[in-house]
Amino acid sequence: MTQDAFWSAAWAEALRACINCGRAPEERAQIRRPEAYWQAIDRGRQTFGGSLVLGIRDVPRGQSAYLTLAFDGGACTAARLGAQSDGAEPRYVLAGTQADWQAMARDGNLLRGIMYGTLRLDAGDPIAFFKDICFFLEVLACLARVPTTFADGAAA
Amino acid sequence: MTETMLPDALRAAGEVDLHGLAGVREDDMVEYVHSGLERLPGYLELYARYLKQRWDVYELDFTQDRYDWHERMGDAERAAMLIASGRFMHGERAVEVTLAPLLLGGTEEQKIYLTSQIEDEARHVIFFERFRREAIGFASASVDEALDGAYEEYHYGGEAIFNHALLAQLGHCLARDPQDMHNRVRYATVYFFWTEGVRALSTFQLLLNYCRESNVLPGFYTGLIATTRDESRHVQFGLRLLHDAIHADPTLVADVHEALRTLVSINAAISLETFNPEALGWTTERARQTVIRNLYRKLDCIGVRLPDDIETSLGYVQAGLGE
Repeated sequence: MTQDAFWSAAWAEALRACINCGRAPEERAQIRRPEAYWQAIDRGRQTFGGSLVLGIRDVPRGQSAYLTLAFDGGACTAARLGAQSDGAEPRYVLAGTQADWQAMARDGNLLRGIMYGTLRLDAGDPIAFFKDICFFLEVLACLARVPTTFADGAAA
Repeated sequence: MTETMLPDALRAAGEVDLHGLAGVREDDMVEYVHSGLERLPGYLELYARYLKQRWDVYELDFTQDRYDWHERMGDAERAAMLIASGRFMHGERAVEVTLAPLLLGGTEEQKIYLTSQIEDEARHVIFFERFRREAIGFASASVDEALDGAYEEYHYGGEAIFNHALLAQLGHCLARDPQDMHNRVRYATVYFFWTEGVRALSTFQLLLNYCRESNVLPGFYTGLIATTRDESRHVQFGLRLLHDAIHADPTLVADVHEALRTLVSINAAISLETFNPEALGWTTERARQTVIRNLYRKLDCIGVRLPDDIETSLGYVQAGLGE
């Protein structure tokens, strides 16, 4: 399986594919969660429309600050890197430092960053975001599921 | 009912010092928490109560607790207490670090009161950290290390981390605009009403009941019942804030409802409980009924009725425990 550089166009496309792929039933069965958890993910996938934007606060020179993940009809239809959030007003912008996102891509633990306040919703209603939190956690878990190389040469 | 009109046991719960709290029963303390709800106290009244009820977390002695933990408690009891203490340490921290934006947008009397609550929350973090280090034996060199060390038992299987993460994000919203009444009401609903007033209070009652019935962990019991008394001020402040906000602008009830919808949906999707109340002597149904009872007592107080969809969802609320 190829490994793409973190926050590159190819990596973003691999992320989109992973989001749309979801998890096979046997993979779900290995993760100890109640059935209601998976139902909440499926419900979020079917109902969420618009864009979830990931932002990097301390953008390295020459690198895009935002990754726009567009959702429509139950699928992630685009994953675009850009200097600004892409397209119409995003539903949510979740931002952190480069180190925060790389940590997330390595260990997949989004909730830890949100709880400690290193990853913050810069735009969007937190109450609505958390109503679909299981879906967003599943989407962003793909950051750790996509084979990735980092600038320090490490791979995840 | 003013404090002077309370029955003797409840008045004692409000008046005794830290050492006297060791002899107060958990049921009396929970009644004390709810005793002022028909006439919610003012913010300065709560501040004055704080000055009288403040306790020194470094006066607690965990020597007997350490013996009990290693020699007298069973594996299932230790597992339950480990999860509960880890979640509460994180829970107290989550409030300690997010109350400041709420303070900034409040009235001057709310600000004065909230300075006392921030100090309470910091003291509670130290209480749970000391218990875990001195009684259980964790070798954390700092509070940061203690929090990270408790992360595994904290994040898995319960809704607490989700509620704290939501609180963190609402805190960020308030930091941008501390006077935004919608977010003030949402924050108050998530924290004062649900997380503390319903979830944490129910768990405290269970933990205290276990310690007293089993005659174990006297240092923990004393610290936790002192913490519960502190929560009485916090809950009453939050209910007062919600009551006053809704009275001034009845449309804010919609924010209470929206926050509750999200909290109940998180509860439904997340609660795969690793925390077993039966290990501490309560059935799951008793724990669930305690949660529901604590919820409705507070709804009555702020005069909010629930729409049918939330009422229906409450029928499925899990008794997963933790702040």
